[in-house]
Amino acid sequence: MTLLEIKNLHLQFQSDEGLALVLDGINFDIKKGETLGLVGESGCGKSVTGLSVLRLIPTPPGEITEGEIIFEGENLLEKSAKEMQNIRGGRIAMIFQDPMVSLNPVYTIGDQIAEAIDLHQPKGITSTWDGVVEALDSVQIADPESRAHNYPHQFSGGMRQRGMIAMMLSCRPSLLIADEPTTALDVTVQAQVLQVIADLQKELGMAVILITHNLGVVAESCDRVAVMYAGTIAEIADVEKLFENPKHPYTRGLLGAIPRADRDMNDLAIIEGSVPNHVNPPKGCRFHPRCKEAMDICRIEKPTDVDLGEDHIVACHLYG
Amino acid sequence: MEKTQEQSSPQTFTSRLNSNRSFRKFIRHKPALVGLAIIILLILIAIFAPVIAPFEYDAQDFSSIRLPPSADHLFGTDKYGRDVFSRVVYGSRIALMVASLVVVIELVLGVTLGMMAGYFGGKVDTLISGFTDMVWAFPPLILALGLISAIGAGLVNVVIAIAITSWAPFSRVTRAKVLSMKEREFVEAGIAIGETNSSILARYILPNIIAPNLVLATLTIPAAILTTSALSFLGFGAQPPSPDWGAILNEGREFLRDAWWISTFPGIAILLTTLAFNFLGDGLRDVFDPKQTVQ
Repeated sequence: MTLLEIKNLHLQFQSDEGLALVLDGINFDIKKGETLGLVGESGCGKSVTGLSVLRLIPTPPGEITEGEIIFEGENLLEKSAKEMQNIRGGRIAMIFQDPMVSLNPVYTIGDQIAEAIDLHQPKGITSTWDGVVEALDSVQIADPESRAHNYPHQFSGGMRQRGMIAMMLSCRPSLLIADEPTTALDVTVQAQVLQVIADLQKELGMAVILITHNLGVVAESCDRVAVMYAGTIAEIADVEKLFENPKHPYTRGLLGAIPRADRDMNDLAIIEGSVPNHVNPPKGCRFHPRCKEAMDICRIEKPTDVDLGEDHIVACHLYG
Repeated sequence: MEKTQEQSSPQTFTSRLNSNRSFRKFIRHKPALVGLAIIILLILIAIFAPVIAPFEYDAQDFSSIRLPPSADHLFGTDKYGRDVFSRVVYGSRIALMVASLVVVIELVLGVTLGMMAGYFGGKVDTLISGFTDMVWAFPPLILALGLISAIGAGLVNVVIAIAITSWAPFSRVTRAKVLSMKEREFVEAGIAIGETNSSILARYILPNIIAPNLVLATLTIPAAILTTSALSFLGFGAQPPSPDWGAILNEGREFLRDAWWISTFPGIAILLTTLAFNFLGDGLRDVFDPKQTVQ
């Protein structure tokens, strides 16, 4: 059953150099309980996609010019500011990249979780304080009862990120958008945080959009992957299919660039060039200047989504 | 729940001051400690003025006019035979009262406007910032003089005039701080759990912009005391027989050559008080903002 569906989403930012088309018609959906990985280089539009869903894009300069974001059957783009406040944190939650700065330094962790619970009053919680302790316990904070009285600076980085997750999940949302939740953490803590998210996901039956540029994390924890390039979605497939049989030249380039223990480091593939400017993107397919397999049509026409069967979708003229 | 809120709401900056490093830094800042000591002493003097002062501040005694300092009259007497020491002691009440009222009004005005400008941005920001700059462009003393000539002399009007003419720095500092605060991820996280604008401003931004405003407030108090004294000296502020330091200074002006004590002692009081607040403000600034420390 589809939980969230994004249809033909266009987002632009007014910048000093001109109009930047940051999202150029992206389509994807996510089912209940599923984990979708959103991968791509810096600046390809991963984070703004996540922020668009919660309508957190600063307007101006940003503006969603076209498209629909259907969540549980309702178009979020038509919601009032007040309705969005209820959805944020209540039905859709988001966690951010840097746990060092995403908690308010002047309140205790417990207070901040309590604030979220009081705002949304989720069902099945008898008292706010029990909810706080339960939330901290669910993210494996030892001794949650007394830890709830700590301030963010008394927590370590991994604990803070787990505290953040506790706060965001205390209201049992049906969708969690995790924007590079592990980038700022070291590897062992990363695994721990991802495990906490996976456990809670199973327990609450919630869907997760995992925004990351770490393909290892994707392989480990996602059901499906969407590869983004310069404001477009290049390819979406089940995680195994994508890693075993990548279709889009960009995906192949990305996977070829992962160092592997059983291969010579010098054989790493390189994707020549760099991410295009959003103000003057290349005509046709946005990837064509860097694509080794570019054809004439790639320079003229924007590729449409091609369904290769079994939910494997690729936007490339090679398969049109 | 109730329990935690009680424990954790009002300790924004105190918790930081209590944290070891800041506290030690403050202890090591000698001038700030001296300033704090003088201010505490001054507050005690103001509270216990009736006990400390040997005479009423307006008790005239025509048998002892313009007596030099002695054991009976520590600071001497003025042209009506009033004890200058008692007048200076009572004057501390006026100085502190006026200064704190001015600062509170300035804080409320400046912080509110600054937060609105910084948080909402756009047209609101342009309007408020433009207005702030305009107010700031006037020399406060001249503007205050103009205002007082319009609304009349008196201490209450002095408070109003000073506050209205010098809240601009608070607005500026607050706006700048809010601009950087609202980009912080915890504010975004607050929006992401569904907080309203007013709750973001009150719970997420306000507690985090108190420190710089507190420093500014401490540094504004001496300015307020000086301006009050200046206005009283010119006859616009406290009216006789009110023992405002500026007013006493003015009363002694014509006898400066034969009775130096009448003007000198309130002058020293003004000097010490402003100096103490400046020292304390400098110390607080160093504690809250390590980047500005000059050592």
